[in-house]
Amino acid sequence: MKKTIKTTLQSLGALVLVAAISIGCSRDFLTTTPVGRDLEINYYQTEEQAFEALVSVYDVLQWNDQFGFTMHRFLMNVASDDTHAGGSDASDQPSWVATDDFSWTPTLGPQAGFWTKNYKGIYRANLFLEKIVDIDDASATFKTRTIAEARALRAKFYFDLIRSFGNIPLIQSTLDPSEYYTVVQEGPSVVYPFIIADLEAAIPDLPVSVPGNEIGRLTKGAAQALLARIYLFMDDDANMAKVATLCEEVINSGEYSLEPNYGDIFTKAGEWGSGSVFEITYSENSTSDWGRFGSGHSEGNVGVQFCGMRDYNGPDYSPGWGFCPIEDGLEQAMSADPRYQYTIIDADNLAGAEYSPGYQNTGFFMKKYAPLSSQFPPDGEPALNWGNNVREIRYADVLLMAAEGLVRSGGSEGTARGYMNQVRLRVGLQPLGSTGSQLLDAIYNERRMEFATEGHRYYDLIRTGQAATTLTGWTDNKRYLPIPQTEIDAAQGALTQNPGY
Amino acid sequence: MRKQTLRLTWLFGALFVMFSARAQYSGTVIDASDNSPLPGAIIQAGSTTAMTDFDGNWTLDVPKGTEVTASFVGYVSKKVVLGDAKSVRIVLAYDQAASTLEEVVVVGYGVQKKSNVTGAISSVKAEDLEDLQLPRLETALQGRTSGVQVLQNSGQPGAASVVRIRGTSSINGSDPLYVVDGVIIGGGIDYLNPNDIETIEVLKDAASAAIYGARGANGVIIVTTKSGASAKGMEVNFSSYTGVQNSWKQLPVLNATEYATIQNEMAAAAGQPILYTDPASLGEGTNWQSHVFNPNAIMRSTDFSIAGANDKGSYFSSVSYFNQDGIVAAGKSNFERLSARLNTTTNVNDRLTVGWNAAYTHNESQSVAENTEFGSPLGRALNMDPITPLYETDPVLLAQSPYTSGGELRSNLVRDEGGIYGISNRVTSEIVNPVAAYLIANNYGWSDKIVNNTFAEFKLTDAIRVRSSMGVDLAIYGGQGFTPSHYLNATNFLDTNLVYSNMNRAFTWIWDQTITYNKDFGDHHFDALAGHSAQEVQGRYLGGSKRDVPLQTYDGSTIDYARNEESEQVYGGIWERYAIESYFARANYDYKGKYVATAVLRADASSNFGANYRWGYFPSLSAGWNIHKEDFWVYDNINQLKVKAGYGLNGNDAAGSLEYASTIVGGRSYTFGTQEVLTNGTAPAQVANPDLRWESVSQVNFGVEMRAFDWLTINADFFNRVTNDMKTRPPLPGYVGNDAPTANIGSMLNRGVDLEFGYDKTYSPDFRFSASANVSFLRNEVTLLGNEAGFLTGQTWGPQGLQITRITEGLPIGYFYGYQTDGIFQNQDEVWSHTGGENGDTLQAGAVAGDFRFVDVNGDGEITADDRTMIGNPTPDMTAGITIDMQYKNWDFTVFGQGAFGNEIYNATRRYDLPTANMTGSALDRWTGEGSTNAYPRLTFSDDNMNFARSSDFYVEDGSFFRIKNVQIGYNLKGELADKLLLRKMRIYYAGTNLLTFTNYSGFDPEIGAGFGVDRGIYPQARVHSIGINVTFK
Repeated sequence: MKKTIKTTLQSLGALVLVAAISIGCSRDFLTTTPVGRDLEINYYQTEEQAFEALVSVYDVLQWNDQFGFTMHRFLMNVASDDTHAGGSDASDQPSWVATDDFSWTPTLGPQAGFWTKNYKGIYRANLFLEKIVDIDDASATFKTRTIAEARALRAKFYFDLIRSFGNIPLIQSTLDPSEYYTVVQEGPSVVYPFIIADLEAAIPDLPVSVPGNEIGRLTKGAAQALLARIYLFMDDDANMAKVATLCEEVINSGEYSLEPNYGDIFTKAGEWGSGSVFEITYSENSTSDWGRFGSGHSEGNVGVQFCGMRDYNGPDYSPGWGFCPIEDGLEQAMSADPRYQYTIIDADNLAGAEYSPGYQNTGFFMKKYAPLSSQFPPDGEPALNWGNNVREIRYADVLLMAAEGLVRSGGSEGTARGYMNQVRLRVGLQPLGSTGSQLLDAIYNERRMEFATEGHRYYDLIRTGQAATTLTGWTDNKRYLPIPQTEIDAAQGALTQNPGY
Repeated sequence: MRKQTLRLTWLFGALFVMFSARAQYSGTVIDASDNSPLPGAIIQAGSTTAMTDFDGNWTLDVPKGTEVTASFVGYVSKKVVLGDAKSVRIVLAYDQAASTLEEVVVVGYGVQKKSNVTGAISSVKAEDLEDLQLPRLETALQGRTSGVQVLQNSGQPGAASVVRIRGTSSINGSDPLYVVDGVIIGGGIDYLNPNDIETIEVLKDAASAAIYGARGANGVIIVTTKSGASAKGMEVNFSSYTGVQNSWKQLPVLNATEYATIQNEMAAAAGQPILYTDPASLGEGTNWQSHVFNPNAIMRSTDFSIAGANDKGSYFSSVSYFNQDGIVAAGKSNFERLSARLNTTTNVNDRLTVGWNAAYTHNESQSVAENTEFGSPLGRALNMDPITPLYETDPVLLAQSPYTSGGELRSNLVRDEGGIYGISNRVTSEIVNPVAAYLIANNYGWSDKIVNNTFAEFKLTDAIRVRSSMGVDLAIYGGQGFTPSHYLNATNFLDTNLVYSNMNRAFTWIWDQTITYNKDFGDHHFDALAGHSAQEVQGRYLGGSKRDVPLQTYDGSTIDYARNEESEQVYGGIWERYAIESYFARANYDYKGKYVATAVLRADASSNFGANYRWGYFPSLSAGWNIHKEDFWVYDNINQLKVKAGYGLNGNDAAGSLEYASTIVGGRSYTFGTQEVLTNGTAPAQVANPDLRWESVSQVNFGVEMRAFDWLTINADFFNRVTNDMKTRPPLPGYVGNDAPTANIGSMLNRGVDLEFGYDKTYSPDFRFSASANVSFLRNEVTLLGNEAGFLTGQTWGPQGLQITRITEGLPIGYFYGYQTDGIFQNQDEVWSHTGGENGDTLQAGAVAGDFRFVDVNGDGEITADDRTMIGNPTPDMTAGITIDMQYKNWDFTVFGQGAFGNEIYNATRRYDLPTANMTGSALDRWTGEGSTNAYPRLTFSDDNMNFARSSDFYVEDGSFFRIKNVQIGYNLKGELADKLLLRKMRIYYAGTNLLTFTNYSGFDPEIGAGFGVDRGIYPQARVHSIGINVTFK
């Protein structure tokens, strides 16, 4: 008996000792080691990791799910006289309806989505630019090119911010928590030079062309065309020569040409065709679902789902949600244009198919981004996985920008006409011989026909001063969106609302 | 010790203990109550002992005149002097006094005398549960104790329950901690066979829960499974029941004629041509509910156990099988559980006891979607138009779209021996043929779980005991499914079938060491506990999917069998480890049992927090006064009176792994290349918050316990629970560009009263009546969220994300949010006279007669989103349960009811965004003209006033209910007949579950645990009629 007790005591003692040694003395017991992910403080050491960080900047380009459905190009169609808001009924997507009739308020509209998306992109670009400097593993050529890409992307995000909001914090590096509430809003006079500096620094370091497996990464031509668009939008005649110069450099690079058939541009095969200068790429293979919606992880283009016909039951298209019905004005304006058939679906005259009319139905729908049943997403929630790329800058745009730049800077009208007529000839229209202000009007008209429903019209109307006369409900204080109320609240006094809201 | 052999033989789960010695005296030991033999009783004469065998017989080789002591656990020992008679019969009586006085309560790492408990602890004992058909543990608590609200998520077999102890304490989850036989169980307790439960203790107040420190904030449920210690000799028990389940309610929906009539009216109101020229010709149409409900669904339970105890130890072993078919979607919603358990203790010697509690459970289930507006069988049954037939038989229709594509009949139409399932050309989106949709769904889940706690306890001295236990919890679980190719409508189809499967493995070990000290110093009693605990949780998972199995059935479909290599997807990984290390101590003191006090301190270090706040300290202090033990107490009718008070601090360490850190996450992808390669990008997930720490709940409890006239008990507790440092994600300005981390900012208040009443009186030897009731009152308020807006958006409804709940400072958690209506405009004059604001503006200029009059809550002269306000509260003001128990001769009768009062339910069962969706019968009482109704607006396809597209009090209904959960009538076989059949007891009974429900709620079921009061087409509880038998063999 005694022996039993002794043995037991000894073993219990040993047990406690083992417990103390194995747990108490082991510092690591309570430290969580990341599995399948990394801590930020240990990351950004290799070229591969730097590239992943760069991809995350590109990633933001395709976001359209921040604070609801905030597909920029599609919403800009709604804001313009190209399309109405649409949807099932007047209560469907209030922020779209508000964009249609300019009834934005600080809490109503797509502004929170635009704001958040672009600042996320800026943060990621800033983070990349800060980290890349100290990554010794990365080669100099890698650094040069990727820094240029990050700066050009940052410029793109800032351009979308400044033209949407007009008065924005200019965040040039990632913020320390101590700086969160001391940011200063800046207007175009400070922001544009920053954007231009980014692009001018990037252009020389970007490749003229990229190999097939790198399609989608920024090229010199894309950055030049973007800078031209920015100069054009700044609407200062002093910059128009720069617009022409930049565009002619793109034209003369020989990298781009108009697709022979206009109808091919918006097909699947037409993605990154000869006339694509800058596309925002989407994938039908990310198997996204509603659980990921709002996180920016959807890699599909939900705009395609939006502009499809409701309950369409025929063979060609997949049913959509009935947004962006074409306004009668555009439909009539294009009635004689050969591009009509590639731009507008006449839904009421489709053989063997019906659809449900929704809010603001006109019977006409967007064709360029229509949900084709042949491209129905194979996996995940179909609505969120359409792979249609957004054609951000087309070569036709470069030609028409060059023409406008030449005319407005007093350059050669003949050259300008030539660029414009290239665009017309491609679709079988007669070349025009207009001059002076008629030439400018012809260029503007060409832009409307060529880029209808591509989301450029609204900004064209604003920069050319036609918005107030063309858009019902638009007044000059709608030039900028309200700064989101959530943002003003969260900034704890650092932000001032735009006038008129 | 004498030469002795001890043999443990596993034979049908029983342990036999045999003893051999030279015989001189022999005899039997008999139970005084029923003259049955007592196996395992001890006959002791000095150092010589004997144990009774299975029939209560013993033999002993001792000289004449020896005094022997006969003893048996739980019985009063007896001394007998052996004389001339060589055969001796010893009768032992059950120790009544000991059993009532020594009633103990499990308090975490030990037990405490009930009279000395100073916290708020409710107990449920096996005897309260043994006659109930309990599918799972939580239902055992439903309505049984005050302060505990249990709502089954739904009536789906295997569905979990929402358990809230004294309210919802956090916006981040308020599930209590489950401790089963000392093992903290994660991942649900559905492995537990309810028949194995000996007691359930609910630690409700912070003073009691403090012993579980950083995990006690939501209360603790301690489950002790049965041991053989209370059984006399060997006890073999068999119980079984079979129940027939049915839905207790079908909702009235429009039939085809009514539907067509109203659709016509809606079209006409919108200026559109009518849709149906002759509604009456459509007749009744399809009753979708009758096709979706599964009548006479069976549930069965069979349970077999063997238990016993003797001075060498105790054993309890059980096997059980439970299966249940669901009352919805025949063949697609069911649950089965097979479980086996062995609990043993062995007294190695006077000082050392070792033992284990081991359980293995296998679950399998099949489930259908529930409580979603995006396609559940019942949601579809309510919304599907009644004109569409179950099967489409019309050859004309079958020869056109949507049944055909390109002139050919689609190959993937859902069909069976009855034909091709109908496809609606009226209702769209997820509202497809409900039967076809559930037939193609194959969602299987399974789990294998082993929980074992092995322990050794050593008595160092009479006052000091040391105990070490190692608990393990291994769960292997997963799911698999198969979706055949199908075409349900234009947006719900699949061309190539899909098979998927996943497996998960979770492993937890928990190692506890405790030392207890227990000593009386005269009238002062002192006991203390100190301990150390460490726990680690690990897991891994693997899953995948693939398309194109050359079969169209679930059976036989596997990922390896599928043919489309390109579609193969695989995912897998390892959980980040969770670890916690703890030190704890508890001291109890009492003076003559009059003044009692308990102090607890626990220190926890959780791996969920960074080095800054890894350790948390959780103290508590409580005291009580047993007034009836005072000399001055002369009120004999008051048998017991105790007042008690306690304060404690509990924590909640629930946090994501590395939630405090900035981690890099992938999936920030972009598509590059002509091959459209989705290229992975990475970015920081959020800003780091190294100061993240546990949420804390501090709670004050005052209580009174009283027993009077020997038959009445009253317990009352008042509590005030304050949650602080509640984790919220305060918004960062968007220009920071990175997501905000969680931070410990919010606070919440729960305040209430718990009352329990008991009545138990034996009127005659033949008649006993007992009743118990509990009532809890609760008020919940979110007191601080710490964001500028002062609210968090909650649940949304429908594809357009209508906001229907919110969390706002100063209001109860998850309240319903929307517009207030003030009746219906009966005529256009009323529209014009509905004015507001400083200038008396017309508020709803666009409205017409028949539209809702919305209230301009903020008085700004406009009806805008800012007029949305609180329109209902899902948290009941009061919950109550009542049990009545009667025994007359051989018969027993039990009624158990339970209810919730003062809460609302948001009825979101109809797809308001689909104007062609069917409606409930209330649509027949719509507004049709001046004076027709003030409650249900006009119906139109052009709802410009947004009568239905706004969240409003129109959708909010009174959710109060009282439900007769269980009624039982049993017959108990007793006396000679039972003896002859070798039965100790036998009970045959009928039980009815959910026989009666009193409620004004118009939906399927007011008892909705899932969805926090929002009914999106809940899977209702079944009404069950069952018969069962419980037999205990001699």
